Amino acid sequence: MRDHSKTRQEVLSGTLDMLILQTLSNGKAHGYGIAQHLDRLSDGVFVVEQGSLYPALERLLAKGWVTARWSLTPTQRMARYYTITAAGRKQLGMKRLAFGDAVKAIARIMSSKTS
Amino acid sequence: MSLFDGLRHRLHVLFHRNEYAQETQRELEFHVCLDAAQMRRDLPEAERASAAKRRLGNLTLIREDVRRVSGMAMLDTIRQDCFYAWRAIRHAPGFAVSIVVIVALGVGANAAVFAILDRALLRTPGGLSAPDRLGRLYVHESGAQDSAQSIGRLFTASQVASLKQALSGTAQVGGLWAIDTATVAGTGSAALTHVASVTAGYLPLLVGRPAHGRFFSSDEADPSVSAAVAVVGYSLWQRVLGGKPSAVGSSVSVGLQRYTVIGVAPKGFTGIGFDQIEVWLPLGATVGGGTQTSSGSVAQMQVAVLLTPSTTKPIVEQIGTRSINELAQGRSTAKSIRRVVVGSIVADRGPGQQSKETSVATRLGIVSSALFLSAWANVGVLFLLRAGQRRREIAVRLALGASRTRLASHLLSESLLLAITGGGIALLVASYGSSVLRSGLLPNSPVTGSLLHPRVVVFCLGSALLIGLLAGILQLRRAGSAGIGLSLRSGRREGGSQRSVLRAVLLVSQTALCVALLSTAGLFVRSLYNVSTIRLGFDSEKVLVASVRFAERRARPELRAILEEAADRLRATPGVERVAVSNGAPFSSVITQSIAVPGLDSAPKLNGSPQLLVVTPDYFAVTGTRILEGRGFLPSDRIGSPNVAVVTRTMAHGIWPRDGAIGRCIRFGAEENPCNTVVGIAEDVHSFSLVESPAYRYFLPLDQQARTNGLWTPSHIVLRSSAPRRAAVMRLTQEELVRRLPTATITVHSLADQLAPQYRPWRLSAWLFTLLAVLALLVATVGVYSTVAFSLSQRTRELSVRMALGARTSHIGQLVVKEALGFVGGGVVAGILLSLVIGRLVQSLLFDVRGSDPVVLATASFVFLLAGTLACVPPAIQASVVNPAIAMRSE
Repeated sequence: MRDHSKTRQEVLSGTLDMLILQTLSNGKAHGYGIAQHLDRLSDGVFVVEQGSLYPALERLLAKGWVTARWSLTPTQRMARYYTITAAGRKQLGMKRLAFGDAVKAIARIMSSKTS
Repeated sequence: MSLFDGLRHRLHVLFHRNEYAQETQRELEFHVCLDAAQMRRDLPEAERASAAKRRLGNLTLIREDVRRVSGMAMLDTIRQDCFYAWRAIRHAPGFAVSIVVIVALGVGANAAVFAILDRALLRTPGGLSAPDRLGRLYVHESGAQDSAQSIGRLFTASQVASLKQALSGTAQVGGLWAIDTATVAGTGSAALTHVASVTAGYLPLLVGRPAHGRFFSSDEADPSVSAAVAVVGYSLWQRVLGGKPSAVGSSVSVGLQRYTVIGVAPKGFTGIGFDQIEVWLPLGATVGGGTQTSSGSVAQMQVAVLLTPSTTKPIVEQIGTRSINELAQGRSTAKSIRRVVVGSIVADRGPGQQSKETSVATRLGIVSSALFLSAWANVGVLFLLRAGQRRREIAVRLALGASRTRLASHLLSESLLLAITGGGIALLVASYGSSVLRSGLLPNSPVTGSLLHPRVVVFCLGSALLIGLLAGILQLRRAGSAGIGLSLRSGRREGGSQRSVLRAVLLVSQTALCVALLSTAGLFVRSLYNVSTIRLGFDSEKVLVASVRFAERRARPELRAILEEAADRLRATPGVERVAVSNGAPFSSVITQSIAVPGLDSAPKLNGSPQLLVVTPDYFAVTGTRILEGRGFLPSDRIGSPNVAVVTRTMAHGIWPRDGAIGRCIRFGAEENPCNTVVGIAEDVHSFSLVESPAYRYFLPLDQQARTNGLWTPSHIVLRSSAPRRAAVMRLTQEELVRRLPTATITVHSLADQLAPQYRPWRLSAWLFTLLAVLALLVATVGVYSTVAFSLSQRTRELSVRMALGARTSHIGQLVVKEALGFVGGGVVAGILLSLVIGRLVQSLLFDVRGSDPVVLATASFVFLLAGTLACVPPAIQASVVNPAIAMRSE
């Protein structure tokens, strides 16, 4: 059962771009595939609001971090596949570092004892 | 590259908007389809699809979000605003055309003036190698006897040589002399261009290296050598010499001489002055044949310096000042203090007097700013009127749910669209206007390239945008000033026009500016008339002057014989009416010689020592100088007969105010010299310029002079020709003298050509200020007409009631005119006050007319009152022919 609590959605905000880029770094995918990947790998810890996925993909397209092309799926249907670009990989690396620093900082704060 | 990928995507979205929207829709449907396929199979397909859609979210919102992120929403907004603006403009074509024309004229005229000022003052000359280390030398001279100070930019050849030596190691020094215009002919084509003589160091210090070939060597630029070599400008090399490197070493004709091209200047370099120079000759060369004989004591050279990286301007100034003061020590009897100043390489940005052209352009800029303000005021009035008309429309739209932001965006789009259209046309006006200004200020300048520098384009479009923005804001304020309810309830049914303080202020301001411009134009027209009617003391249209100078020293009798023989030959030339010989001529050269007058303790002077011309008897007839009293010179006035003299009227009245000059004695030089009896009084003669301070002048007969002093030596042949044949006579005279006197330097010019550049600023000022005034009058008249027309449209009901109650057509007309004249009258009063201020600003550019001339002010006021009254006529007629019954029912 997925937990749609507001707290867990707030953790996601600001990281959607990074998660999409990470997903695409493993290979091209269409929008539904990206949503499924995030849902599956997060094991229900957080839910990507599917309605925000496509605006995020559009944003990444406008920045040139991903490209899109229509091609056939294995089931012979036309789908729009997204591919990460070199600039996107670079951004992914930077966002990953920044996210890691943020997580460590939060962990330090949470593990500190009040004197 | 992310920039490229991102840009490509945005362009795809921009140019395939509909397709992209369909792709987004298909993508979302695909997502729903796949999600539905993952759900429980036992559910009906429709239910699975519905559930999948709910999981995805509101598809419309998602599509809108995608549109917003892709920028399509913003583009759609802009497109809508432009469409709305275009529709609004289409419904008011008269209003739109008025705005566009006013902006085009107001901004364009200013941009044209700005283009000239940009060139004169702001733009650094092109092609310079180190502009930050370049400078021009000026000499600041203050007299010890009085407090007069002057700043000049000309140096003598001796001073230049001394400066070069003193500044060696500190700065490079180069001199430029004798700018002239000549026709340069190469292989098959020719061009009229400016030519300058320069020292060997001048070009290298300004531009470093040539584009092709080399610059002058020290030997070539030695005036005593006068090598026949030339450096040409890059553009001239392309136009006249085919642009081939092999042109270096070829021969070109410059004026009457042939020169070998030794180098081509770098691209873009045409000198550092207003005149664009395209041929440089070594110092000493001329275009008219022969060589220049530079006088070491006459200041004729402009000096440029290139500072070494370690030097500062104060050091150069200190060394330069010491150098020229040491040179002057013991040479001059005048105890003046000279100080060398390093100023801007652009002469009009340096210390000292601006050129007349820049001075006119600067004041023109101030006055054209008034036109700009007038245009803005008029645009503001028109937009205010329009906003007032549209209050009801805007109230309805607000009531129907339009946001204030969107309405503001619509209104601003309309004003910006009109203003930018006007700004685009203003570029054309500026281009044409600056060409007209350039041809007026620089008629002989073969300028290549456009005057429209990017700065001017930015000025044009920026000004138009500013006008559009401000007008849009005015419109917004006016349209939203009353609440929705009040706007919906108010309208024509209330009767009476809507008063607006801001509109009244703008209208009065625009009227005042127009009156001020009209009176300024009147002042310049009057100045031009006064200048044109100055009696110069000679018939400039008919007089030619040939200056003859020999490099080698010749005895005076021999020179007299040579010139007389040449004059005899010239008398037989077709078109020549009379010929005389003299030691000088107006606007050529004049010597001064102090005199002693019996009975006076000191030598009489007026603005310097008296000027002297030694002439043959025919001189007065040749020049057309009228003898007012007594007689001129006769052939019998020779050595052995009583010594005589002719004085000018100013001298006669100045020295002998009560007893008359005829029969009086003057002695030139010392008191013990023989007496010359005054036998005639001639009219005053101008020697150097149209407008000059009065001075004493006198004439002596050439045949009575036995002096061998060089200044008394005949050196000029003065001819009188019929005006239509003047050019042909000049050419024939030049050819004849060059043939007869091959070792002499011959220069032939007409007094009319010498004077023409002096009339130019007056003519140009009058023409341009009148044009600006007419434009301002047009702009202001449109404003008055629009205001009256709008006001009447607001009062249709009131006027209909009046007419229904028996008011006659003439009463309606009077009502209209009276209301309009209220604004106009106030504006005229303000305009007169503004005219007095502008009159003081331009006083130094006027001639023989005060800036507060009452006739000019009255005429300007009358012209505007007449134009304003005429502008009221069409709306008054329209209001008076309205059928009251129809008007009252049409609400």
